[in-house]
Amino acid sequence: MTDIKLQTVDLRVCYGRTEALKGVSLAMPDRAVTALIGPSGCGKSTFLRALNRMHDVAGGTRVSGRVLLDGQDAARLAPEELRCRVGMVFQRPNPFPMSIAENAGFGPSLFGVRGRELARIVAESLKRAALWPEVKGRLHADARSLSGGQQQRLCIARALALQPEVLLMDEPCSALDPAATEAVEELIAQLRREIAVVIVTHSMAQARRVAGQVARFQAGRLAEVGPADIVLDRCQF
Amino acid sequence: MKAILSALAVTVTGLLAGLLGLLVRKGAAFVTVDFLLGLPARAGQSGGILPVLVSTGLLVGGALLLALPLGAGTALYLQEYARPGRLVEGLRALTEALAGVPSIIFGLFGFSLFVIRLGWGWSLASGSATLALMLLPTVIRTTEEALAAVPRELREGAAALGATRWEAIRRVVLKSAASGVLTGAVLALGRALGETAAVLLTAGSDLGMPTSPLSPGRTMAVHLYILATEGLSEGRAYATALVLVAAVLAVNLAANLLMARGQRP
Amino acid sequence: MQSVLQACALAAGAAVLLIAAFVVAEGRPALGAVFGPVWDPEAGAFGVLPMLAGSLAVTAGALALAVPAGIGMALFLTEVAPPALGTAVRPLLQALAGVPSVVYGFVGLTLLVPAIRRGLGGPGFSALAGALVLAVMVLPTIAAVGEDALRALPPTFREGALALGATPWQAVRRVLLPAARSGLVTAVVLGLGRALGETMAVLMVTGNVAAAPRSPLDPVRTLTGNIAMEMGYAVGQHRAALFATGALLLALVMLVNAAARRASR
Repeated sequence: MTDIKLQTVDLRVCYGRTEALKGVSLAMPDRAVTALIGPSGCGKSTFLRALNRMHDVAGGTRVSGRVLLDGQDAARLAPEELRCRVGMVFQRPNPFPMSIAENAGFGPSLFGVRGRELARIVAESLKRAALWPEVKGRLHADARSLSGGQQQRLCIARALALQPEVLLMDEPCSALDPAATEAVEELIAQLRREIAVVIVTHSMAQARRVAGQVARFQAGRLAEVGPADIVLDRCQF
Repeated sequence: MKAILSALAVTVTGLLAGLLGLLVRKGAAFVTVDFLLGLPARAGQSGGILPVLVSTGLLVGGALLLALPLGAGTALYLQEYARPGRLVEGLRALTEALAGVPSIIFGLFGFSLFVIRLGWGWSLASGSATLALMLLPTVIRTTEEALAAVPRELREGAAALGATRWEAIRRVVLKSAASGVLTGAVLALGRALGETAAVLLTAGSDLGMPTSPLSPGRTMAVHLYILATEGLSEGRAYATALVLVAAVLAVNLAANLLMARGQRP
Repeated sequence: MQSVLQACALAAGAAVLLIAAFVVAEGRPALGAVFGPVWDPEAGAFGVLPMLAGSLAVTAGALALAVPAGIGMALFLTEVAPPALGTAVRPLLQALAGVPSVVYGFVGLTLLVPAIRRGLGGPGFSALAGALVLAVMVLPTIAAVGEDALRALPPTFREGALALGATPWQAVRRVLLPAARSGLVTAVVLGLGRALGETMAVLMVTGNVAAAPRSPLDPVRTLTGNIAMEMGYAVGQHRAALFATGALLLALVMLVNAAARRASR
C-alpha cells in the first residue's frame, strides 16, 4: 500500500458561468501512475491544471476545494514553489527558442544554479529522460532542431531537472508518432518507480500499458476510479 | 512587475488625456462661430480662420482626388492583374520605400518640381500634388489589404458566368472591397490634415482666401505653426490646435468604425 | 484596362526613385561642402555635421525614453491588462499616434520649454526638449509593433516557463523578451526611422543654434529643422546645400529602414 502523494478534496473549477469540474475528490499515490481518461471536454485537463495552479495564469477561473500535497494544503505554498514540486509536461512539445542545454537547465537556473552544477543537472535530467545519447554531442544546438519525439523528451527532461515529486502529463504523446510514443511510455515506466505520475490520455491502450490506477471522468465529475485493469475492462468506448 | 507596468500605462494614457484637456481648457473659449467663419486680421492675432479652413479643405481634397485613383489603380494592378514575381515584389518594395520618406523630403521634391520647375509657384496645386505622393503608400496598402480579403470564390463565380477580369473586378470585387478602400481613404485624410513641413514648402503660408488652384494657401497645421512660433495669439493658437486635433481624432474614429463594420459579415 | 492600371503602378513605383533623383540632383553642387563642421551660409560654409550631431542627440535621447516605455506598454497590453482594458487602451495609443506633430511641437513650446528653463536652467529650447517631445511621438509606434511581436509568440512559451516555477517577471525576462527579439528590434528601428525624419515638433522646441550640443540643455538644430527653416529664402549654393542635406537624410532613413527589414526576417 503506497502513500498518497497528491490528493484533491471536492475540487471545483468554474470558467465564468460554466462549472467545468464539479467536486472531484481523488487520491493519487506516490511511485505510481494515475491515468485520467474520459471523453473530450469532460474535465480531465481542467483537473490536471488545477493540481499545479495553472488556472491562476489565465484568469477568469474560480477554483474551490483543496489540493493536498503530502497531506499539506497546496494553497499555502507560493505558486512557483508548488510548481517546483509538481512539474508539468504539455500536449505539444514547447521547447523554448534556446539551446538544448538552456532548455533543460531553465528551471534550476531560475534559482541561481550556474556553471558546473547546472551542467551536471542538465546531463542527469537528459539521462533520466533517455535523451542523453542522442544529444550529448550538440547540447548547444537549437532545441527546435530536434524531432517531435525528441523535443517532448527534452520537455520531460526540463521538468525533471527540478526534481519534482509529481509529474503531470497532459496527453504527452498525442502529437508524437508511434516510435516516439513508445519511447515516452518507457520513460514513464521508469519514472513511476521514483515519483508520482498523473497522465491525461485519450488512448485506453496507453492507459492499460502505463497506469496502475485509472480515474474515469464524465461531464466534470469523477465517474469511476480503481485499478487499471478493472476500470478499463468495464469501459465501453 | 504588474505595478510598474500599470503605472506606466496610466502615465501614457494620462498624457493623451492631459493633452486634450489642455487644448480644451485653453482653446475652447476661442472656438466660436466667429472664429470658424470669420476672416483673420492683423496676421492672425485676431479674427477668425475661415480662409485657413477653406485652404485646408481644398488642399486635402485635391490631394485625395489625386491619390485615390492612382493608389487604388496601383493596388488593383498589384493584386488582380500582375503575376507574382520580381516585378511585383519590386514595385511593392518601391511603394513601401515611399512610406519611409520623411515629410520634409517630400517638401523639397514638391518645391523643386511643382513650385519651381513646373512654375506653379507656392500654390494649392503644388501642395495637393505633393501631399498626394505622401498619401499614396497608405492608400495602396489599405486597398491591397481590402482586395486581398475578398474571397477567391467570388472572382471565380463571376468568371464562370462569363465576365472578363475587369468586369468581375468592377461589379463584384470592388463592391466587396469598398469599405476597406473607404477606410484607407479616411486614414489618408487624417494623415493629410496633420501634415505641415511639406505643405509649408509647397503651398506657402499666405493668409488670404484662395481663389484658384494656383493661389497660395495656409492650412490649419501651418497656421498653428506660425501662430505658435511668432507668438501672435496664444488663445487662437490653442483654438486652432483644438480644431485640428478634433478633426484628426474624428477622422480616425470614423476610420476605426468603418474597419469594425467592414469586419462584420 | 490592364494597361491603365499598370501605368498607375509604374508611376507609383517610380515616385520614390524620382524623389531621390531630384533631391540628389539639386544637391549635387553642394554635396562635398555638406560634410564640413560649420554651418554659416553667409560665409559660404555649408557643413551640416553640427546638425547631424543635433539629429543624433535628439533621436538617441528620444529612443532612450521611448524604447523602455514602448516595450513596457506592449508588455502591459500582453501580460497585465485584461482584454477589456486592452481594447480601451489600444485606441488611445492610436489616437496619440494620430495627433499631428505640429500640435506636439506647440504644446512643447508653450509648456515644456518654459518648464525646462525654470527647472533645469538654460534657454529651455534644448536637445532635451526635442528628445522628450519626440519620445512621446515615437512611443505608440514602438508599443504597437512590440505588442504584435509579443502576441505572435506561442502561448505555450509562457505556460511552459510558469510550469517550471518561473515568476511572471522571470517568464517575461528569460523567455518572452528573448523570443520576441527580432520583432522588438524591428519596432525600435522603425521608431528610429520616424524620429530621424520628424521635422515640425523638433523644430519648435530645440532652438535655433547650428552647433553641436555639449549638454542636453543646449539648443540644437536637426537636419530636418535646418531644411525647414531656411528653405523659404535660400538661393544658389545655399539652396543646393539644403537639398544635399535632404539627400543625406534620405540616405540615413533608407539605411535604417533597410536594417529594420533585415531585423524582422
